[in-house]
Amino acid sequence: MNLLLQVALLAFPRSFRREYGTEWTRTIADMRNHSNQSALRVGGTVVAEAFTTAIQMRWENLMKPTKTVLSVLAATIALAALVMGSAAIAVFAIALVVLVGLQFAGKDRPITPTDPSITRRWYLWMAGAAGAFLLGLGVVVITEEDGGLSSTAWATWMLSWATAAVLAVIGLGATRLFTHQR
Amino acid sequence: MAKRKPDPHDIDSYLPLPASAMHIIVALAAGEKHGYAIMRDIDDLSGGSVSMGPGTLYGSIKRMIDQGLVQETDERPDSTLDDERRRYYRLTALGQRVGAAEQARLTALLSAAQVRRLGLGGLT
Repeated sequence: MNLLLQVALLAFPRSFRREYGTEWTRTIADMRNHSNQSALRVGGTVVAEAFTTAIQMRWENLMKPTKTVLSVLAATIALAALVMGSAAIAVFAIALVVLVGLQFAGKDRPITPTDPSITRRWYLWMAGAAGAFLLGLGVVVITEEDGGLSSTAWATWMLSWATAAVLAVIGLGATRLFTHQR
Repeated sequence: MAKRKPDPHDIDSYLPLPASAMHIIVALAAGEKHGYAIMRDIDDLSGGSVSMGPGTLYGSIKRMIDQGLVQETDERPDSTLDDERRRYYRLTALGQRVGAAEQARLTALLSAAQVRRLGLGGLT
């Protein structure tokens, strides 16, 4: 169980672990010592709660500008590379590593209060998604010929729609996580 | 409803408080406490209906410290009875004002609910 708790603690952003990891662990020890529930049940509840809150904290970090731009860029490249075919799998893998690395190995900023104005930002993400979608559609309509699309046009089309997909997912995520938060 | 970033000079900008933050404020209104004591107090005050996990607790405390609602204190109520390594938290003056404002907001809401007889099938 202690190992599981250590793993659960790793789910939190580094800044949180550094500042509150010891207190978090000590509080769980108190819970286990003073609760009339079994240690397994207390541990299970804590681990489930840890992953939920850790995801939320990481999402908040993701929504911060610098990291968000880099993450969106990496996710977009990854998605586009995946769609383009096997020659781009390497790019996809590298982009994925960058994305994961940003989330788990990057230097976190201190956890800041949830900015209430973020509830409005989902419109911007969705507007960006719509713009990217329309851009891709425009490329297809304008450049399509009898023989189909040129490789450049096809790549632009895929990249635009991959961008649209990533932005839309982030926008929808922001809507769900922040407008219904507690 | 448009929300603004909290401004210490504008108490209303903190409202409505997240439920977890208000629970912590109520727990700390009785005096400084360490994390586990806050959790126990929240559980007791709610009759067991609200059970805050340590992730939510420390995530909320971190935010509240950043917002100036809560501060860590070096003082110990009785160092002979407790673990010196524990971290204790207390409300700041701003935290007390924000808590009072949230209390007023919730009281007004409850009054409105009572006027409309919400608990007696007013919506039926």
